[in-house]
Amino acid sequence: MNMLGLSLAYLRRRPLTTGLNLLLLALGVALIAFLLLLERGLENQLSRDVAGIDMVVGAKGSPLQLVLSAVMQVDVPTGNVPLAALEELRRNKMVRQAIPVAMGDSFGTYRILGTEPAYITHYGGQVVTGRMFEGPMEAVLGAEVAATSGLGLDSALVGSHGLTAGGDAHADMPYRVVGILARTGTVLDRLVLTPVASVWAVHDHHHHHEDKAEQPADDHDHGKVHDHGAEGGHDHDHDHDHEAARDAADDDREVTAILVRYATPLAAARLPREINGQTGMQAASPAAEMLRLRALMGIGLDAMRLLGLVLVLAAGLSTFVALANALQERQYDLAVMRALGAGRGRIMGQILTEALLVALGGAVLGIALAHVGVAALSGFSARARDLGLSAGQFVVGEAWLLGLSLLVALLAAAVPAIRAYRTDVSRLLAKG
Amino acid sequence: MPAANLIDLDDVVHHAGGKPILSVERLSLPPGRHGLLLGPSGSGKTTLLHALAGLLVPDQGRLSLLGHDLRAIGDAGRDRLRADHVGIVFQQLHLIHAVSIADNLRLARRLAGKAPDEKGLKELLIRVGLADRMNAVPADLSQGERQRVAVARALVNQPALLLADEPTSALDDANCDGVIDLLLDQAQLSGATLLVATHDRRLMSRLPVLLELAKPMERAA
Repeated sequence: MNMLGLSLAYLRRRPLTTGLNLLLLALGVALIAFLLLLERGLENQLSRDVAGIDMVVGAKGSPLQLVLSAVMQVDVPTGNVPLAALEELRRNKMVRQAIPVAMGDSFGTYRILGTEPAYITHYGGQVVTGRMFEGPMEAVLGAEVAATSGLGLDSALVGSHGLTAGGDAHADMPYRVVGILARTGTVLDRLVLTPVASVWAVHDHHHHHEDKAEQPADDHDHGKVHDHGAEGGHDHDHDHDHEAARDAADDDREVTAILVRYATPLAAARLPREINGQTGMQAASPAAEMLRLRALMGIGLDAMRLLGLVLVLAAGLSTFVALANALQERQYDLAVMRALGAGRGRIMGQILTEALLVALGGAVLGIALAHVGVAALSGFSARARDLGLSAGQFVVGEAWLLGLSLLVALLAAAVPAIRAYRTDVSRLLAKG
Repeated sequence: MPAANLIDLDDVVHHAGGKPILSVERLSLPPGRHGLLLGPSGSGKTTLLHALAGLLVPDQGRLSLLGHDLRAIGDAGRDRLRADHVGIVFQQLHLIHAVSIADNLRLARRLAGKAPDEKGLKELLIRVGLADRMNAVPADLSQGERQRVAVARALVNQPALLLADEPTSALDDANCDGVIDLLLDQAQLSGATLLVATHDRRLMSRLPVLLELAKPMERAA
């Protein structure tokens, strides 16, 4: 019978109280740990997605929206920019690389992204089956798209109009799957990738159909990428007057946004200002926008963390009450332990051990719960899998949580322990 | 080295709440001298017992156990001395109810800082007739069995001095004899000197009165 065994025996004698304290602490710790894990996953993915992209050039609007739509592929685009802008950026000495992205259609819940092979290379994508797309209407599938759709090489893939599921199908313009990418843990996994020309082709074609009834002769808007985002997703009310005034030349073609890598740090100071000031486009910095996003999310996460902290403190308070009550019940036991030769420190240690055991149990249980939660989440959500969440991964914050739990327990046990330390054993035993 | 007395006590006075509750002029006991500390309730028997066990330090006087001055050796020293040389059977027994009989005994060794001794523990339980109940918890035992556990626990560290506080006050004559037999036999088997603090005059036929205490106030009057 060692001290630990005795502490456990006492805890077992009060299963309800011990259980409640364990549960309170475990829930608080689980909530905080879960948030920590989620946050880390999110951060990791955000930084993986924006890594190496110094600037996004797109239509005027919210810079955060531009970054979310063009880089993270989650928000709707702000609009389109002329293809000529891409050529101009590429001629700029301060630009090392400029990759166009063009969007407008989706496949199920996944976006079809018109771009260049450089985009895939940028995210470290590797074709594991088949080959890279070369011509229009050839598609390369991200790992998750391939996995969930079950499409293989040479399958036909029909896009639907708009960036949300359920738009009109472009059934007469199917894509052909020519390649499948390895999993990268980036936005790439959730995309259907195709040359920009495919997006132009689909929409030229689409417009022919749409416009035939009223404007059979209108052939002026080829090369347009639908301005879905800015107009609300399914709005086909294009500005035909404006478009009609143009010809069908290449410089009328558009892309949704351009992802830029600088050749020199100097570019960061000059390029965005030039673009924002001298063109009708806007330049946004993914890093800066992600900072803003984090700040926005931070409030919600902070509130949740606070809730977790309140639970941990409640567990501490409850442990304190439990120990104070137990001390009342057990004053004779403690006195007898003194009479059996235990020093005051031993008695104090006994009380502290009990509190620390609850804290350790609660914290370990809570952290385990958080990891089970993460495992469950990534079990049914592909989005969570994308965050790179895995039940077996731990973050430094969890060690801090363990420390925090032990500290709270130590504080909760301090007063009862000191009271036990000071007990006049002789007087107590003489009473009983 | 001359054989030290087990107990040497000179002019010990202790107060509680401003009133004297214990006053003993002199008591010296060699090892092996079993006996009674007799006195009515309120005469300071328990206080004296606690003082002998080093659980309290009397306000005045000199008190030594096995040649150690209990005042001089300090709190930790008294804890040590008690752990090594004193076993106490409380009036209310005060077994630890959270753990088994055997664990009560193991705990007593542990708290005294002694190495576990499963063989000695088993022998002790056989001696008090509880070998088959060693895994029971105190609540499952009869009062008589609990008393035997308390005695066994007091002896588990092979003390030189076995103190018993009013062990018979609530018992009929037959049980009274049984408890004294138990205490005497076990003290002898363990080589401990038994001191019983009691107001129970029935015990005078079994043990010599070593010290008769009176209420300090009465004596003063």
